[in-house]
Amino acid sequence: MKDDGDKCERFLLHLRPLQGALEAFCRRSVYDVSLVEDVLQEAVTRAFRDFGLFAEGTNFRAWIFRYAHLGILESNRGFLTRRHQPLEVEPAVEDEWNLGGDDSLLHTLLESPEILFEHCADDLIHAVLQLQPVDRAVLLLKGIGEFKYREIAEIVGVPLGTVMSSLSRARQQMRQALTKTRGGQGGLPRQTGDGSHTNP
Amino acid sequence: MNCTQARQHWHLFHDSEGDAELHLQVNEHLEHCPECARWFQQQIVLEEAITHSLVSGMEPTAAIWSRIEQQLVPPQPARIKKWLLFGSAALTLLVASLLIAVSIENSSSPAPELAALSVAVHDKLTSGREEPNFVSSSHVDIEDYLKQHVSFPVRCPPREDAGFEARGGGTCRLANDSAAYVVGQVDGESVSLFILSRDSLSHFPELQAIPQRQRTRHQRHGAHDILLMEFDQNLVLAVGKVRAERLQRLLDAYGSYPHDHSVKSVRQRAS
Repeated sequence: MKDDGDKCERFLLHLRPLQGALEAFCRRSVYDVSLVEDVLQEAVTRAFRDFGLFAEGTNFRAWIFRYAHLGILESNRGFLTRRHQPLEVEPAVEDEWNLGGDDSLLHTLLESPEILFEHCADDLIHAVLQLQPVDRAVLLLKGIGEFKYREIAEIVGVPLGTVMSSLSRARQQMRQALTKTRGGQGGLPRQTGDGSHTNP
Repeated sequence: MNCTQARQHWHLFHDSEGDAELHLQVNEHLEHCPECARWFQQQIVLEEAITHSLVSGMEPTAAIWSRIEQQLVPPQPARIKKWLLFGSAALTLLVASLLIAVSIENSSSPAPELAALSVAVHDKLTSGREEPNFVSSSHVDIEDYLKQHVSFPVRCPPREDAGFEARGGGTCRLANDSAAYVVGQVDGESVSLFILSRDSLSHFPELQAIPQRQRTRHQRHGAHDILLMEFDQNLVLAVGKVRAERLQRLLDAYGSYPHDHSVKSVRQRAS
């Protein structure tokens, strides 16, 4: 019993600083938001069960995020099976540095990124869910978890090169999605020649 | 490094990845190229804004994490002081005494402890989480198995003529008492029979309150019906989600078959 108590204490000591990031990662990744708590619960319980295999001094953050990642995949797979169809995913167009999309709208975003907070918060969340699972995981692990490429490769279980291409593709698709949806809806002001903003 | 090469590597530069040589070259280029320097700055600010948008308002939900942590905490704290241990023991004794007193006083109250324990084992056996120790559809073989594995007398379980299709049997512990069980089906529904020594009555104080004139006792635990009967040297419980009359028929059939294994003898002779 004492061992169980010690194990629990040590586990919680590692876990507590990561709770916010883990929850954010799940919330932005799970298709069915009602399952976020279940996914977290399952991931943490499985990690705790295997905590005996964790070597102190190694990377607990990457270790526990891997359980979360696997839980998310499992949950989303079940969701898609229930729907009997994949979420609509646009084909990725890779270009290493030309970020694509509507140039004037992209220019607006680049000049005034604070517009994101005013106009595009929902679009961003939607755009993340439209990404391919690996691309989404890589983008969120980088953004929310602040992991290095090597750590992301371990968590997601893909080669380092795949992490780099996934991240590049995900970032590009996020920008394309933002400019496309907001440009189409007229929510994002276009940049005029004199630098002032105007709605189309 | 030209502009195209520099911009091709902005992800690595932004994420502090890649080797030092690459960062050195990109930095050198940015020092001499104001356009690229501005371009890099814009990309970085936009990426940070996107990331910030994704994580904003994402504080951990205290209620969720409280529930998760509660699941992890072992049932008893690891570091317990001696006085707390003795205090708890004394309190437990006091509560137990009170419960016994109340139980004896109120003879119509249910027997939740034995009921809950038997339903828990029944659920494990019928949900597939646990297989019976001895899998067989032969009532005689199950009876033989039980007799070899429990220290108290066991009579033959109900057979097909009582509408019971046996699936297997085994032994388990109900609180601190050993019990034999037989699992099977009645009308397509899973039913378990638990057989304890009559001596176990004294370990379940709530059962001592059953009036002697009352041959069987019916109670419900969740969706389960439970029928309890004292028979010969046994205490027998029938548990399942079937009507009480069907459980009663099983209890009536328990032990009503000949002791000499005549069926088995006939079967062995025939083979």
